[in-house]
Amino acid sequence: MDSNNPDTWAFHLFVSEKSSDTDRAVALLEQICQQYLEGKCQIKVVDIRENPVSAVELNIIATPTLLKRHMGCEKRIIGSISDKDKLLSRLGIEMGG
Amino acid sequence: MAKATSRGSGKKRQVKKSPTGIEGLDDITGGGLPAGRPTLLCGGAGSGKTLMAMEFIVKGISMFKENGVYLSFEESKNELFDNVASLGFDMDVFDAQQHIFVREIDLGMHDFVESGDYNLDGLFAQIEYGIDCVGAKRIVIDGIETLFSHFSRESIIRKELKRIFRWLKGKGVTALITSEQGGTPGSITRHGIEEYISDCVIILDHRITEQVATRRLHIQKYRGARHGTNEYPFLITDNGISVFPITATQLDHDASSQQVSTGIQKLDDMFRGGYYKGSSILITGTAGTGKSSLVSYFANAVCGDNEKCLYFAFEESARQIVRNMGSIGMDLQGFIDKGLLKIHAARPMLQGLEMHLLTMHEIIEKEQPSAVILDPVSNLDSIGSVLDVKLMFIRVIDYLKQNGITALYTALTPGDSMPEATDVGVSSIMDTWILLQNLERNGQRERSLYIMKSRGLGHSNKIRKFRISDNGIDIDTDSQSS
Repeated sequence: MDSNNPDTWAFHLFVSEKSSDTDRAVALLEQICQQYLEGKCQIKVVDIRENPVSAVELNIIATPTLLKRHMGCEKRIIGSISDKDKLLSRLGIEMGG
Repeated sequence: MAKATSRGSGKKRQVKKSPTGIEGLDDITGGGLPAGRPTLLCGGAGSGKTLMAMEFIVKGISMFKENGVYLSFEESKNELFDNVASLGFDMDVFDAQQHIFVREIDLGMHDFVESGDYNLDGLFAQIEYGIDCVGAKRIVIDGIETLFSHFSRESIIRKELKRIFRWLKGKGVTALITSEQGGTPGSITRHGIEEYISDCVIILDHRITEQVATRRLHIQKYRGARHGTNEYPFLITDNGISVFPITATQLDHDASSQQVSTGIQKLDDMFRGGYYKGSSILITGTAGTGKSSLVSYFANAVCGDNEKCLYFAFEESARQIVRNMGSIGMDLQGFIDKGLLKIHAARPMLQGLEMHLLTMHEIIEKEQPSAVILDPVSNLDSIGSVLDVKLMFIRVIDYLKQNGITALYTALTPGDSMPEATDVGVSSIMDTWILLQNLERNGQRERSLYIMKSRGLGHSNKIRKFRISDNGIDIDTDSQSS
């Protein structure tokens, strides 16, 4: 479902209801994307209530879950996202720039 | 169905039950699990939780036309299907026909870290998807407590579990939640999830005593409904789980007024006609008092009437019995040849109690005899505790009674104990009890026979002397020993 380019950072945020938290998380991801990942990102929000099949297919248990795919690796971050530095370290992105 | 107790003047609403279809379990619960509510099924590893849960779903589909969801946190779909395939259910067919939705949730599969607050709406979505997919009326959530070992925020998990169970209630599906037993003192399950499932709690237990395994089930709690409170032995058979309710087999056996010959004219006279057909007769005595002879006479009489008799021998081989009875003038071999008499000799030690019971059941079902002999039942205590044997024994007695089969049981009384004592302590549930004794008088051993009790039968209350000779048993007509 993500772009075929393994170099692309795919961020899929699974939520159970879009809220202001969701908007904040998306804004944060966009910021990180521009600042650290040269814009090579795909950010997508999936509402599992509207799309429960995706929860089944990807085995989403908790919401929000941020599913990150990059270079064939997958990582999940569970829970609300509000702190940029924390998120960077959890994503394993070096804060060089 | 069990009636809910009504308190005061207001009539209490009866809890609606969802039958499990599991043999015996619906008897104990008075009709099944609380319909539309969650039930907790708790037990240690290998206690049969998953099988019972699977059977609940499978029987729901096959017997009650209720589709089901099986959510497993521990086993894969293939493992689950393989497990029940051995019970003769082809799950792939149910799966293909969309009667069942099986979801395996492997929490260890994905690498994840926890950040801020979260809830388990993903799990909700998956469950709801499954329920909607097949129109499920039943759901099993197997091993949900593994959530605790994968998520660090225990308070969130607790809150969410509570929410899931409440939500399931709202959905009106009958849920069976399995959980690992023990660990924490004062709670049934490791993480105390019984706190959130308050309607019904079933506990499974698998013990091994003296290398013999026994499985037990008991209902810890059943809100708003009467239920059996004992521990019930259960078996895992070729057909699934089979629970043996002890008291659920209500005392509604047809009491026959027809009498059958004991095989000995003078004993018939003492009973004014013979044993009641379909009753339970216990014969006790010390070693060598003639218990086997007495039951063989009965077998002989049953077969002589062209009816089938099953003889379970736990001490002697079939050949020994035939030979011994031949020596007192009885031709049992003739009846064996005709197929009227079947002697099943087995050392109880060879099988566990449950297997033993199962084997007897199967043979009785197959042979459909008019009479069954268990000689001696006191030997059975070598394969289980006194209580286990008693439970199993009551079940056998009940089963035979319900089927109108006359049953003779012998029990050995240890030489030094009270003649009235039986090892398995079941005399109270017997209809008739004959006591055999060896008395020593004037340097001679004298055999004596006494009818200790006989429900609903007029009977002689004299102690009669009897002899066993080449010509068989001869009871003195009117002797009374001191």
